[in-house]
Amino acid sequence: MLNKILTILLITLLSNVNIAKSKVVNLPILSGVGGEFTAVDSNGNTIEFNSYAGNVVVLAFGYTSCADICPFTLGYLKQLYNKLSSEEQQKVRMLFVTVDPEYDTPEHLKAFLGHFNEDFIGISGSKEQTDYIVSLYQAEYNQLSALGIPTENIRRVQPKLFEDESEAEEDTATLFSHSVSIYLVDKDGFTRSVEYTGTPKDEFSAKIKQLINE
Amino acid sequence: MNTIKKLLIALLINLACLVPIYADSTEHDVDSRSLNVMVSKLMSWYGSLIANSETVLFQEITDDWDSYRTQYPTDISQIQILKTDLTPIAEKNHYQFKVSSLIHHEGGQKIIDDNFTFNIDLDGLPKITAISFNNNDAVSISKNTSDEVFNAIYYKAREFSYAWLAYMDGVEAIQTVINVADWSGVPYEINIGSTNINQPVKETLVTRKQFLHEGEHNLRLIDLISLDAKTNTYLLDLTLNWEGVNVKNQMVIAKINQKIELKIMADGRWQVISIKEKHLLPDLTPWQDLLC
Repeated sequence: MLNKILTILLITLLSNVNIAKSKVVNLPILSGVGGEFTAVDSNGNTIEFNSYAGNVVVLAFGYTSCADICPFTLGYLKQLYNKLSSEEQQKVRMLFVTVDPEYDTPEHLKAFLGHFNEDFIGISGSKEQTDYIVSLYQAEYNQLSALGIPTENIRRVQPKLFEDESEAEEDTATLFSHSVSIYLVDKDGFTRSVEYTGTPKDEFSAKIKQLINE
Repeated sequence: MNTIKKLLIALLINLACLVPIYADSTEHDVDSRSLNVMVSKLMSWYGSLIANSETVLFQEITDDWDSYRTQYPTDISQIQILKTDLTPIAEKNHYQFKVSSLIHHEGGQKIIDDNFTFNIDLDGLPKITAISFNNNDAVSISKNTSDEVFNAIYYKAREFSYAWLAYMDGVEAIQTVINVADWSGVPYEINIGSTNINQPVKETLVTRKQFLHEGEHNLRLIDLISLDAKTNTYLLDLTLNWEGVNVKNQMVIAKINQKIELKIMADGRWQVISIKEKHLLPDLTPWQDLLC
Protein backbone atom coordinates (compact mmCIF):
# COMPACT_ATOMS: atom_id res chain seq x y z
CA MET A 1 0.00 0.00 0.00
CA LEU A 2 2.78 2.36 1.03
CA ASN A 3 4.61 1.60 -2.21
CA LYS A 4 1.50 2.47 -4.24
CA ILE A 5 1.07 5.80 -2.42
CA LEU A 6 4.73 6.60 -2.87
CA THR A 7 4.48 5.82 -6.58
CA ILE A 8 1.41 8.06 -6.99
CA LEU A 9 3.11 10.83 -5.02
CA LEU A 10 6.24 10.58 -7.14
CA ILE A 11 4.26 10.69 -10.39
CA THR A 12 2.34 13.74 -9.15
CA LEU A 13 5.51 15.53 -8.09
CA LEU A 14 7.21 14.75 -11.39
CA SER A 15 4.21 15.88 -13.40
CA ASN A 16 4.30 19.21 -11.54
CA VAL A 17 7.99 19.54 -12.33
CA ASN A 18 7.15 18.91 -15.97
CA ILE A 19 4.41 21.56 -15.84
CA ALA A 20 6.96 24.04 -14.48
CA LYS A 21 9.58 23.05 -17.05
CA SER A 22 7.28 23.15 -20.05
CA LYS A 23 5.67 26.40 -18.90
CA VAL A 24 4.63 28.36 -21.93
CA VAL A 25 5.53 32.02 -21.57
CA ASN A 26 3.01 34.56 -22.71
CA LEU A 27 4.58 36.20 -25.76
CA PRO A 28 1.98 38.49 -27.37
CA ILE A 29 2.66 40.21 -30.68
CA LEU A 30 3.95 43.72 -29.99
CA SER A 31 1.89 45.67 -32.49
CA GLY A 32 3.88 48.15 -34.56
CA VAL A 33 7.32 46.97 -33.46
CA GLY A 34 9.37 45.81 -36.46
CA GLY A 35 8.21 45.16 -39.99
CA GLU A 36 9.37 44.74 -43.53
CA PHE A 37 12.62 46.41 -44.68
CA THR A 38 15.31 46.19 -47.33
CA ALA A 39 19.02 46.24 -46.42
CA VAL A 40 22.38 44.68 -47.23
CA ASP A 41 23.67 41.63 -45.38
CA SER A 42 27.30 40.93 -44.44
CA ASN A 43 27.79 38.94 -47.64
CA GLY A 44 26.97 42.07 -49.60
CA ASN A 45 23.59 40.77 -50.76
CA THR A 46 20.50 42.94 -50.81
CA ILE A 47 17.95 41.32 -48.54
CA GLU A 48 14.30 41.78 -47.66
CA PHE A 49 13.49 41.10 -44.04
CA ASN A 50 10.77 38.66 -45.12
CA SER A 51 13.51 36.45 -46.61
CA TYR A 52 14.03 35.32 -42.99
CA ALA A 53 10.36 34.28 -42.70
CA GLY A 54 10.05 30.79 -41.28
CA ASN A 55 13.00 31.44 -38.95
CA VAL A 56 13.01 32.96 -35.50
CA VAL A 57 15.06 36.18 -35.58
CA VAL A 58 17.04 37.73 -32.76
CA LEU A 59 17.90 41.32 -33.68
CA ALA A 60 20.19 43.86 -32.00
CA PHE A 61 21.58 47.28 -32.94
CA GLY A 62 25.20 48.37 -32.60
CA TYR A 63 28.35 49.18 -34.57
CA THR A 64 31.82 47.73 -34.92
CA SER A 65 33.72 50.67 -33.37
CA CYS A 66 31.67 50.35 -30.17
CA ALA A 67 34.09 49.63 -27.35
CA ASP A 68 31.67 48.62 -24.63
CA ILE A 69 28.10 47.37 -24.97
CA CYS A 70 28.29 45.86 -28.49
CA PRO A 71 31.08 43.33 -27.80
CA PHE A 72 29.32 42.55 -24.52
CA THR A 73 25.95 42.07 -26.28
CA LEU A 74 27.49 39.90 -28.99
CA GLY A 75 29.30 37.82 -26.35
CA TYR A 76 25.94 37.35 -24.67
CA LEU A 77 24.27 36.43 -27.99
CA LYS A 78 27.08 33.94 -28.69
CA GLN A 79 26.40 32.20 -25.37
CA LEU A 80 22.67 32.37 -26.00
CA TYR A 81 23.10 30.83 -29.45
CA ASN A 82 25.25 28.06 -27.95
CA LYS A 83 22.35 27.11 -25.70
CA LEU A 84 20.45 25.97 -28.80
CA SER A 85 20.93 22.60 -30.44
CA SER A 86 22.40 22.65 -33.95
CA GLU A 87 18.94 21.77 -35.26
CA GLU A 88 17.47 24.76 -33.41
CA GLN A 89 20.30 27.02 -34.57
CA GLN A 90 19.33 26.28 -38.16
CA LYS A 91 15.91 27.76 -37.42
CA VAL A 92 17.27 30.95 -35.88
CA ARG A 93 18.86 34.02 -37.50
CA MET A 94 20.95 36.32 -35.31
CA LEU A 95 20.98 39.81 -36.87
CA PHE A 96 23.29 42.63 -35.87
CA VAL A 97 22.12 45.89 -37.46
CA THR A 98 24.80 48.54 -37.64
CA VAL A 99 23.91 52.13 -36.82
CA ASP A 100 27.09 53.22 -38.64
CA PRO A 101 26.62 51.84 -42.16
CA GLU A 102 29.05 54.37 -43.59
CA TYR A 103 31.96 52.82 -41.67
CA ASP A 104 30.63 49.27 -41.25
CA THR A 105 30.88 47.83 -44.72
CA PRO A 106 29.46 44.32 -45.23
CA GLU A 107 33.03 42.86 -45.33
CA HIS A 108 34.03 44.62 -42.12
CA LEU A 109 30.81 43.55 -40.38
CA LYS A 110 31.44 39.96 -41.46
CA ALA A 111 35.00 39.98 -40.08
CA PHE A 112 33.79 41.63 -36.84
CA LEU A 113 30.89 39.20 -36.27
CA GLY A 114 33.11 36.25 -37.12
CA HIS A 115 34.84 36.79 -33.78
CA PHE A 116 31.62 35.81 -32.07
CA ASN A 117 29.94 33.34 -34.39
CA GLU A 118 30.21 32.92 -38.12
CA ASP A 119 26.47 32.31 -38.34
CA PHE A 120 25.72 35.83 -37.14
CA ILE A 121 24.47 38.12 -39.89
CA GLY A 122 25.47 41.77 -40.14
CA ILE A 123 22.92 44.17 -41.59
CA SER A 124 23.94 47.45 -43.18
CA GLY A 125 22.82 49.56 -46.12
CA SER A 126 22.33 53.25 -46.71
CA LYS A 127 21.80 55.67 -43.83
CA GLU A 128 18.15 55.97 -44.91
CA GLN A 129 17.73 52.20 -44.74
CA THR A 130 19.36 52.12 -41.28
CA ASP A 131 17.19 54.95 -40.02
CA TYR A 132 14.11 53.15 -41.31
CA ILE A 133 15.02 49.89 -39.53
CA VAL A 134 15.73 51.83 -36.32
CA SER A 135 12.35 53.55 -36.60
CA LEU A 136 10.54 50.25 -37.26
CA TYR A 137 11.89 48.80 -34.01
CA GLN A 138 11.30 52.14 -32.26
CA ALA A 139 14.94 52.12 -31.26
CA GLU A 140 17.23 55.13 -31.14
CA TYR A 141 20.79 56.12 -31.90
CA ASN A 142 22.72 59.36 -31.70
CA GLN A 143 26.05 60.40 -33.09
CA LEU A 144 28.20 61.45 -30.12
CA SER A 145 30.65 63.71 -31.91
CA ALA A 146 30.80 65.43 -35.27
CA LEU A 147 34.48 64.61 -35.71
CA GLY A 148 35.86 61.12 -36.28
CA ILE A 149 38.15 59.64 -33.66
CA PRO A 150 41.39 57.91 -34.76
CA THR A 151 40.53 54.23 -34.54
CA GLU A 152 43.91 53.48 -32.96
CA ASN A 153 42.48 55.20 -29.86
CA ILE A 154 39.41 52.94 -29.76
CA ARG A 155 39.61 49.51 -28.14
CA ARG A 156 38.14 47.33 -30.87
CA VAL A 157 37.42 43.67 -31.41
CA GLN A 158 38.27 43.83 -35.10
CA PRO A 159 40.25 46.64 -36.76
CA LYS A 160 39.09 47.44 -40.24
CA LEU A 161 41.32 45.93 -42.91
CA PHE A 162 42.84 48.19 -45.55
CA GLU A 163 44.95 47.35 -48.54
CA ASP A 164 47.09 50.41 -47.98
CA GLU A 165 48.73 50.71 -44.52
CA SER A 166 48.63 54.51 -44.60
CA GLU A 167 44.86 54.33 -44.85
CA ALA A 168 44.77 52.28 -41.66
CA GLU A 169 46.88 54.90 -39.88
CA GLU A 170 44.50 57.67 -40.94
CA ASP A 171 41.40 55.66 -40.18
CA THR A 172 38.83 57.44 -38.03
CA ALA A 173 35.44 56.34 -36.75
CA THR A 174 32.46 58.04 -35.18
CA LEU A 175 31.06 57.10 -31.79
CA PHE A 176 27.35 56.57 -31.20
CA SER A 177 24.97 55.91 -28.38
CA HIS A 178 22.24 53.42 -29.27
CA SER A 179 19.42 51.27 -27.88
CA VAL A 180 20.54 48.17 -26.04
CA SER A 181 17.35 46.15 -26.51
CA ILE A 182 17.42 42.75 -28.19
CA TYR A 183 14.28 41.97 -30.21
CA LEU A 184 12.84 38.49 -30.50
CA VAL A 185 10.90 38.08 -33.74
CA ASP A 186 8.73 35.09 -34.61
CA LYS A 187 8.61 33.07 -37.82
CA ASP A 188 5.95 35.40 -39.27
CA GLY A 189 8.04 38.52 -38.64
CA PHE A 190 6.12 39.69 -35.56
CA THR A 191 8.15 41.04 -32.63
CA ARG A 192 7.18 39.02 -29.58
CA SER A 193 9.57 40.13 -26.88
CA VAL A 194 12.14 42.79 -26.04
CA GLU A 195 15.09 41.54 -24.02
CA TYR A 196 18.56 42.75 -23.04
CA THR A 197 21.83 41.30 -21.81
CA GLY A 198 20.40 41.15 -18.28
CA THR A 199 17.83 38.53 -19.32
CA PRO A 200 18.93 35.13 -17.96
CA LYS A 201 20.11 33.18 -20.98
CA ASP A 202 18.05 30.11 -20.03
CA GLU A 203 14.93 32.28 -19.95
CA PHE A 204 15.74 33.86 -23.31
CA SER A 205 16.64 30.57 -25.00
CA ALA A 206 13.39 29.04 -23.70
CA LYS A 207 11.48 31.84 -25.45
CA ILE A 208 13.41 31.24 -28.69
CA LYS A 209 12.61 27.50 -28.48
CA GLN A 210 8.98 28.27 -27.80
CA LEU A 211 8.78 30.36 -30.98
CA ILE A 212 10.63 27.69 -32.99
CA ASN A 213 8.02 25.16 -31.91
CA GLU A 214 4.98 27.33 -32.63
CA MET B 1 0.87 4.97 9.08
CA ASN B 2 2.41 8.29 10.15
CA THR B 3 4.62 8.18 7.06
CA ILE B 4 1.57 7.73 4.84
CA LYS B 5 -0.14 10.70 6.52
CA LYS B 6 2.94 12.85 6.00
CA LEU B 7 3.13 11.82 2.37
CA LEU B 8 -0.56 12.60 1.84
CA ILE B 9 -0.12 16.04 3.41
CA ALA B 10 2.88 16.66 1.15
CA LEU B 11 0.77 15.62 -1.83
CA LEU B 12 -2.03 18.00 -0.86
CA ILE B 13 0.41 20.89 -0.42
CA ASN B 14 1.91 20.05 -3.77
CA LEU B 15 -1.48 20.12 -5.47
CA ALA B 16 -2.53 23.28 -3.65
CA CYS B 17 0.33 25.14 -5.32
CA LEU B 18 -1.54 24.84 -8.63
CA VAL B 19 -4.86 26.20 -7.37
CA PRO B 20 -4.19 29.98 -7.40
CA ILE B 21 -3.78 29.92 -11.20
CA TYR B 22 -7.45 28.99 -11.53
CA ALA B 23 -8.54 31.25 -8.68
CA ASP B 24 -7.08 34.26 -10.54
CA SER B 25 -8.96 33.48 -13.71
CA THR B 26 -12.30 33.68 -11.94
CA GLU B 27 -11.67 37.25 -10.76
CA HIS B 28 -14.59 39.42 -11.86
CA ASP B 29 -13.88 42.67 -13.66
CA VAL B 30 -15.86 45.12 -15.75
CA ASP B 31 -15.37 44.96 -19.51
CA SER B 32 -13.52 48.01 -20.88
CA ARG B 33 -16.28 48.63 -23.46
CA SER B 34 -18.75 49.18 -20.62
CA LEU B 35 -16.15 51.03 -18.59
CA ASN B 36 -15.43 53.50 -21.41
CA VAL B 37 -19.17 54.16 -21.84
CA MET B 38 -19.56 54.60 -18.07
CA VAL B 39 -16.71 57.10 -17.89
CA SER B 40 -17.96 58.95 -20.96
CA LYS B 41 -21.35 59.31 -19.20
CA LEU B 42 -19.65 60.58 -16.05
CA MET B 43 -17.69 63.13 -18.08
CA SER B 44 -21.00 64.34 -19.54
CA TRP B 45 -22.47 64.46 -16.05
CA TYR B 46 -19.73 66.66 -14.60
CA GLY B 47 -19.06 68.70 -17.75
CA SER B 48 -22.69 69.69 -18.07
CA LEU B 49 -22.71 70.98 -14.48
CA ILE B 50 -20.10 73.59 -15.34
CA ALA B 51 -21.30 77.02 -16.42
CA ASN B 52 -19.65 77.92 -19.69
CA SER B 53 -19.81 80.95 -21.90
CA GLU B 54 -18.74 79.01 -24.97
CA THR B 55 -21.07 76.44 -26.46
CA VAL B 56 -19.99 73.05 -25.22
CA LEU B 57 -22.57 70.36 -25.83
CA PHE B 58 -22.69 67.15 -23.83
CA GLN B 59 -24.72 63.99 -24.29
CA GLU B 60 -28.10 64.39 -22.73
CA ILE B 61 -28.63 63.58 -19.06
CA THR B 62 -32.10 62.15 -18.62
CA ASP B 63 -34.69 64.25 -16.79
CA ASP B 64 -34.84 61.59 -14.05
CA TRP B 65 -31.84 63.22 -12.41
CA ASP B 66 -32.97 66.86 -12.58
CA SER B 67 -33.92 67.05 -8.90
CA TYR B 68 -30.67 65.36 -7.93
CA ARG B 69 -28.61 67.84 -9.92
CA THR B 70 -30.17 70.82 -8.09
CA GLN B 71 -28.00 69.86 -5.13
CA TYR B 72 -24.89 71.16 -6.89
CA PRO B 73 -24.09 74.87 -6.84
CA THR B 74 -25.35 76.62 -10.00
CA ASP B 75 -22.29 78.74 -10.65
CA ILE B 76 -19.61 76.08 -10.99
CA SER B 77 -16.47 77.20 -12.85
CA GLN B 78 -14.38 74.02 -12.48
CA ILE B 79 -14.74 70.47 -11.19
CA GLN B 80 -11.60 68.61 -10.26
CA ILE B 81 -12.07 64.88 -9.82
CA LEU B 82 -9.94 63.86 -6.87
CA LYS B 83 -10.64 60.16 -6.49
CA THR B 84 -12.61 57.40 -8.19
CA ASP B 85 -13.39 53.87 -7.19
CA LEU B 86 -15.29 51.28 -9.22
CA THR B 87 -16.55 48.16 -7.50
CA PRO B 88 -19.02 45.43 -8.43
CA ILE B 89 -21.99 45.14 -6.09
CA ALA B 90 -23.99 42.11 -5.09
CA GLU B 91 -26.73 42.60 -7.68
CA LYS B 92 -25.72 41.01 -10.98
CA ASN B 93 -24.26 43.39 -13.62
CA HIS B 94 -24.41 46.31 -11.19
CA TYR B 95 -21.42 48.47 -10.37
CA GLN B 96 -20.83 51.29 -7.96
CA PHE B 97 -18.75 54.20 -9.23
CA LYS B 98 -17.67 56.47 -6.39
CA VAL B 99 -16.39 59.87 -7.44
CA SER B 100 -14.94 62.41 -5.09
CA SER B 101 -14.66 65.85 -6.67
CA LEU B 102 -13.62 69.34 -5.72
CA ILE B 103 -16.16 71.87 -6.94
CA HIS B 104 -15.01 75.42 -7.61
CA HIS B 105 -17.91 77.88 -7.56
CA GLU B 106 -18.51 81.53 -6.88
CA GLY B 107 -19.11 80.94 -3.20
CA GLY B 108 -15.83 79.03 -2.77
CA GLN B 109 -14.93 75.38 -2.95
CA LYS B 110 -16.52 72.21 -1.70
CA ILE B 111 -15.89 68.51 -1.94
CA ILE B 112 -18.76 66.37 -3.15
CA ASP B 113 -18.81 62.61 -3.03
CA ASP B 114 -21.15 61.10 -5.61
CA ASN B 115 -21.93 57.43 -5.66
CA PHE B 116 -23.31 56.28 -9.01
CA THR B 117 -24.88 52.87 -9.47
CA PHE B 118 -24.64 51.52 -13.02
CA ASN B 119 -26.56 48.62 -14.45
CA ILE B 120 -24.97 47.03 -17.49
CA ASP B 121 -27.64 45.76 -19.86
CA LEU B 122 -27.43 42.70 -22.10
CA ASP B 123 -25.73 44.74 -24.85
CA GLY B 124 -23.03 45.78 -22.39
CA LEU B 125 -24.33 49.33 -22.14
CA PRO B 126 -24.27 50.85 -18.67
CA LYS B 127 -27.15 52.95 -17.40
CA ILE B 128 -27.21 55.03 -14.23
CA THR B 129 -29.86 53.55 -11.93
CA ALA B 130 -29.15 55.34 -8.65
CA ILE B 131 -27.02 58.13 -7.22
CA SER B 132 -26.26 59.13 -3.69
CA PHE B 133 -24.66 62.37 -2.65
CA ASN B 134 -22.47 63.54 0.19
CA ASN B 135 -21.84 67.26 0.39
CA ASN B 136 -18.90 68.46 2.51
CA ASP B 137 -19.37 72.17 2.96
CA ALA B 138 -16.49 72.91 5.28
CA VAL B 139 -13.29 71.76 3.65
CA SER B 140 -9.80 73.06 3.59
CA ILE B 141 -8.17 72.47 0.26
CA SER B 142 -4.53 72.81 -0.59
CA LYS B 143 -4.01 74.99 -3.66
CA ASN B 144 -4.05 73.21 -6.99
CA THR B 145 -0.46 73.46 -8.20
CA SER B 146 -1.07 72.20 -11.74
CA ASP B 147 -1.91 74.52 -14.62
CA GLU B 148 -4.77 72.28 -15.72
CA VAL B 149 -8.16 73.95 -15.94
CA PHE B 150 -11.04 71.59 -15.20
CA ASN B 151 -13.65 73.43 -17.24
CA ALA B 152 -16.36 72.30 -19.63
CA ILE B 153 -13.99 71.72 -22.55
CA TYR B 154 -11.78 69.57 -20.32
CA TYR B 155 -14.79 67.29 -19.76
CA LYS B 156 -15.93 67.48 -23.38
CA ALA B 157 -12.50 66.18 -24.52
CA ARG B 158 -12.85 63.22 -22.15
CA GLU B 159 -16.50 62.54 -22.94
CA PHE B 160 -15.57 62.43 -26.63
CA SER B 161 -12.42 60.34 -26.13
CA TYR B 162 -14.01 57.65 -23.96
CA ALA B 163 -16.95 57.43 -26.37
CA TRP B 164 -14.52 57.09 -29.31
CA LEU B 165 -12.69 54.27 -27.49
CA ALA B 166 -15.98 52.49 -26.88
CA TYR B 167 -16.93 52.96 -30.53
CA MET B 168 -13.61 51.48 -31.69
CA ASP B 169 -14.32 48.52 -29.42
CA GLY B 170 -17.62 48.00 -31.21
CA VAL B 171 -20.18 49.89 -29.09
CA GLU B 172 -22.33 51.20 -31.95
CA ALA B 173 -24.86 52.85 -29.63
CA ILE B 174 -22.29 55.43 -28.54
CA GLN B 175 -21.84 56.86 -32.05
CA THR B 176 -24.30 59.70 -31.50
CA VAL B 177 -22.00 61.12 -28.79
CA ILE B 178 -19.18 61.52 -31.31
CA ASN B 179 -21.41 62.24 -34.34
CA VAL B 180 -20.00 59.41 -36.44
CA ALA B 181 -22.64 60.25 -39.05
CA ASP B 182 -20.64 63.44 -39.84
CA TRP B 183 -17.38 61.56 -40.34
CA SER B 184 -17.96 60.39 -43.88
CA GLY B 185 -14.76 60.92 -45.86
CA VAL B 186 -12.67 61.85 -42.83
CA PRO B 187 -9.16 60.44 -43.48
CA TYR B 188 -7.81 58.01 -40.89
CA GLU B 189 -4.18 57.00 -41.37
CA ILE B 190 -2.53 54.23 -39.37
CA ASN B 191 1.11 53.19 -39.22
CA ILE B 192 1.70 49.75 -37.72
CA GLY B 193 5.40 49.07 -38.29
CA SER B 194 5.88 48.98 -42.06
CA THR B 195 2.12 48.69 -42.68
CA ASN B 196 0.34 51.86 -43.69
CA ILE B 197 -3.44 52.13 -43.85
CA ASN B 198 -4.91 55.35 -45.18
CA GLN B 199 -8.63 55.32 -45.88
CA PRO B 200 -11.79 57.05 -44.64
CA VAL B 201 -12.59 56.28 -40.99
CA LYS B 202 -15.09 53.44 -41.51
CA GLU B 203 -12.89 51.62 -44.03
CA THR B 204 -9.74 52.10 -41.92
CA LEU B 205 -11.53 50.67 -38.88
CA VAL B 206 -12.43 47.59 -40.92
CA THR B 207 -8.82 47.10 -42.12
CA ARG B 208 -7.51 47.82 -38.61
CA LYS B 209 -9.61 44.88 -37.37
CA GLN B 210 -7.17 42.46 -39.03
CA PHE B 211 -4.50 43.62 -36.60
CA LEU B 212 -6.61 44.53 -33.58
CA HIS B 213 -9.54 42.19 -34.06
CA GLU B 214 -11.10 41.83 -30.66
CA GLY B 215 -9.87 43.51 -27.53
CA GLU B 216 -10.06 46.50 -25.30
CA HIS B 217 -8.85 50.08 -25.57
CA ASN B 218 -7.80 51.82 -22.39
CA LEU B 219 -7.06 55.53 -22.28
CA ARG B 220 -3.69 56.38 -20.76
CA LEU B 221 -2.98 60.00 -21.72
CA ILE B 222 -5.07 62.80 -23.16
CA ASP B 223 -4.19 66.29 -24.24
CA LEU B 224 -6.27 68.85 -26.11
CA ILE B 225 -4.12 71.43 -27.88
CA SER B 226 -5.50 74.53 -29.59
CA LEU B 227 -4.17 74.68 -33.15
CA ASP B 228 -5.89 77.83 -34.31
CA ALA B 229 -8.13 79.91 -32.08
CA LYS B 230 -9.58 81.79 -35.06
CA THR B 231 -10.86 78.67 -36.78
CA ASN B 232 -11.52 76.86 -33.51
CA THR B 233 -9.40 73.87 -34.51
CA TYR B 234 -7.83 71.57 -31.96
CA LEU B 235 -5.58 68.55 -31.79
CA LEU B 236 -6.75 65.81 -29.48
CA ASP B 237 -3.66 63.77 -28.62
CA LEU B 238 -4.50 60.37 -27.13
CA THR B 239 -2.28 57.56 -25.89
CA LEU B 240 -4.08 54.25 -25.52
CA ASN B 241 -3.20 50.74 -24.53
CA TRP B 242 -4.84 47.87 -26.35
CA GLU B 243 -4.89 44.20 -25.48
CA GLY B 244 -6.63 41.45 -27.38
CA VAL B 245 -6.29 39.16 -30.39
CA ASN B 246 -5.72 39.67 -34.10
CA VAL B 247 -7.84 38.12 -36.84
CA LYS B 248 -5.81 34.87 -36.50
CA ASN B 249 -6.64 34.79 -32.79
CA GLN B 250 -3.03 35.52 -31.79
CA MET B 251 -2.54 37.63 -28.66
CA VAL B 252 -1.56 41.21 -29.40
CA ILE B 253 -0.67 44.20 -27.24
CA ALA B 254 -0.35 47.73 -28.53
CA LYS B 255 0.50 51.18 -27.29
CA ILE B 256 -1.27 53.54 -29.62
CA ASN B 257 -0.89 57.24 -30.20
CA GLN B 258 -3.77 58.98 -31.99
CA LYS B 259 -3.73 62.55 -33.15
CA ILE B 260 -7.28 63.66 -33.90
CA GLU B 261 -7.59 67.04 -35.58
CA LEU B 262 -11.00 68.56 -35.04
CA LYS B 263 -12.96 71.73 -35.34
CA ILE B 264 -15.52 72.94 -32.82
CA MET B 265 -18.46 74.14 -34.89
CA ALA B 266 -20.60 77.17 -34.06
CA ASP B 267 -23.39 74.89 -32.85
CA GLY B 268 -20.99 73.10 -30.46
CA ARG B 269 -20.52 69.93 -32.52
CA TRP B 270 -17.05 68.46 -32.71
CA GLN B 271 -16.26 67.90 -36.37
CA VAL B 272 -13.35 65.51 -36.87
CA ILE B 273 -11.01 66.63 -39.69
CA SER B 274 -8.45 63.80 -39.67
CA ILE B 275 -7.06 61.00 -37.51
CA LYS B 276 -3.45 59.81 -37.49
CA GLU B 277 -2.49 56.72 -35.53
CA LYS B 278 0.90 55.22 -34.79
CA HIS B 279 1.65 52.08 -32.82
CA LEU B 280 4.45 52.69 -30.34
CA LEU B 281 6.69 50.35 -28.41
CA PRO B 282 4.50 49.15 -25.50
CA ASP B 283 5.79 49.90 -22.01
CA LEU B 284 7.30 46.53 -21.24
CA THR B 285 10.64 46.87 -19.59
CA PRO B 286 12.73 49.43 -17.73
CA TRP B 287 15.63 49.08 -20.19
CA GLN B 288 13.74 49.56 -23.45
CA ASP B 289 14.59 53.27 -23.62
CA LEU B 290 18.16 52.80 -22.42
CA LEU B 291 20.96 54.01 -24.69
CA CYS B 292 24.62 53.00 -24.36
